[in-house]
Amino acid sequence: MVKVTLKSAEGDVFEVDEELALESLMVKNMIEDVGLDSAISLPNVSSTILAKVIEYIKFHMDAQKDGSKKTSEEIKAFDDDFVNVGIPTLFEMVLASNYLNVKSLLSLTCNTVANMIKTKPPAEVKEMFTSAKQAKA
Amino acid sequence: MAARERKQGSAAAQGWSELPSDLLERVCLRLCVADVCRLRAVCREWSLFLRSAQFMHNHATATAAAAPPAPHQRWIVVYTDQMYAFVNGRRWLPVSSPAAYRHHCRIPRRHEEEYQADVVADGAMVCVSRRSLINDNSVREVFVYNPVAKLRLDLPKLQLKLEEEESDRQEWPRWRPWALSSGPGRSFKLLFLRYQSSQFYLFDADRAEWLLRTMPRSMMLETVQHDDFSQAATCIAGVAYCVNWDRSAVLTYSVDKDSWGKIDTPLTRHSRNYLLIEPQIVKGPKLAPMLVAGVRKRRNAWLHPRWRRDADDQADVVSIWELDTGSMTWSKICEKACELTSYALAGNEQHIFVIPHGNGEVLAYDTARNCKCSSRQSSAAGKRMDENPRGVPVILAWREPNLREKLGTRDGIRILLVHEFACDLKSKFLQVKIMSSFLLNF
Repeated sequence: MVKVTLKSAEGDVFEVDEELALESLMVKNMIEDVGLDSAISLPNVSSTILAKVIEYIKFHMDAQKDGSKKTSEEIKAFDDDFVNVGIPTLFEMVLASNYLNVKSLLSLTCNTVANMIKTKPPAEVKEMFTSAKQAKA
Repeated sequence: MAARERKQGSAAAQGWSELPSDLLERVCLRLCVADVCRLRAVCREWSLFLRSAQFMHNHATATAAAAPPAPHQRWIVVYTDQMYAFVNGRRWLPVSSPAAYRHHCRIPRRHEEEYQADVVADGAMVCVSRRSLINDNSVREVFVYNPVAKLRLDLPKLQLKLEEEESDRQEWPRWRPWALSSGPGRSFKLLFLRYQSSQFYLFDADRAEWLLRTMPRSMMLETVQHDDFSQAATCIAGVAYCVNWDRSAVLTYSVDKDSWGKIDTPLTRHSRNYLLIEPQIVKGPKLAPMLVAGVRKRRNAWLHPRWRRDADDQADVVSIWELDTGSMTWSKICEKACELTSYALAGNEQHIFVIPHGNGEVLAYDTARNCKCSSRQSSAAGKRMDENPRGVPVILAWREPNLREKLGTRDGIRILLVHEFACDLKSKFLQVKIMSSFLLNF
């Protein structure tokens, strides 16, 4: 199987199957443009986030394969668990899935954000995000 | 590398105000109109983006397809050279500044026509042209307008069957849209009736036409005062309710079953300023309306105190009744004595407010919690300051009439921001401390 090398913002190198990498439309375009010889540099995505994105794509690719025994409940449980992260991480995940152009992950993360701010008063939304800021700082 | 990390860190830290607008749009397309309005108050960047015409258009298209249930909303409409609508008693309005008055909307008009807006449920209002269209007094232009989403839906023109004595009159005739009942998807029904007539029109959005119907003669709606109508009528779960002119009965019309009914009311001729309101919570399997009215018991108030007898000197009360939809009777939930020499009633989807004019105190009844506050009963003497659970000040707005003498203007909007409740467990009323109050006039 052909491997693709992805390089995160920190310079960490991830080797993934080409099939998996093609799920990201952005990486797909890059491969078409520059080929598979050199590592694909992703300066906007940190190692932790890139690892999470790869985990997500891998799980869903396995789930879609024929003979997969995963039920829709299991997939949903995985998704719920996957986005059950701190606000700064979630924010980076939204940006990364947008940058990498992974449609299903983008819709999952946007949905999560929407559910988080739904029915909340503005002050609370503001506070939610400023506390995220402090945690990050 | 360090620089890169720092850049990454700051991108996350500045966070959501820096969220690219296409991503913000993605998130907000999943939210309802009320949430979008709330989010406008989070920061400047969001406010600018969420107000843009492009976004509102995209949002309207996306939500119309998804058709989420619209929240019940009441509106206050003010007529000047333009028509303005205010959201009445919205919990979700951003209230960080006294500039809450910015949250009004202008209702677009066409053809320089005068429109009468009537307040109806489900977030939209129905506007009807007041005068004749092109010299034919029997044709009315009708549109449904949602001021938040800025959505205008033009209905087919309504051809009225006017009676002879009415046809040459130019004044606002006795036709009124009464109820808007929304069904699944984009279907809704609109009821349009005429005082002292047994004929009424029903608009069915699925069929997109006006149907002329006849009601039993005993159900005929007598005249309801102009200003009273929005308070005297409501529509809950497909049933329209309206207090009759003499307050002795509430007329009901089930839109789906096409059946009329009449419920006797506990109101008397001493009842003042009644308000028919839809409570926020579902009581049992059905939603039942609540009726609020003040009763002036001190009938001889004009007498000099020397001549008054003790028996006459009872306190005025405000009572709240709830309709039992099974037995079709009203049961009194609570009663509260208060000075009613001059007062206003207002309601939103959760609270009923009684505002005695002038003394800076507001009484509020919480329909959602039924104001029992069971977890808070440990408080001393049954009274304590009860913080609004979500920390959101309640905006309360109502139309203040009779400003002509005071300010020389036609109409004004009194807006109160309240955020502290003191709970009186005995009478089930909350005392509300007014945070700020301002008056808008035009």
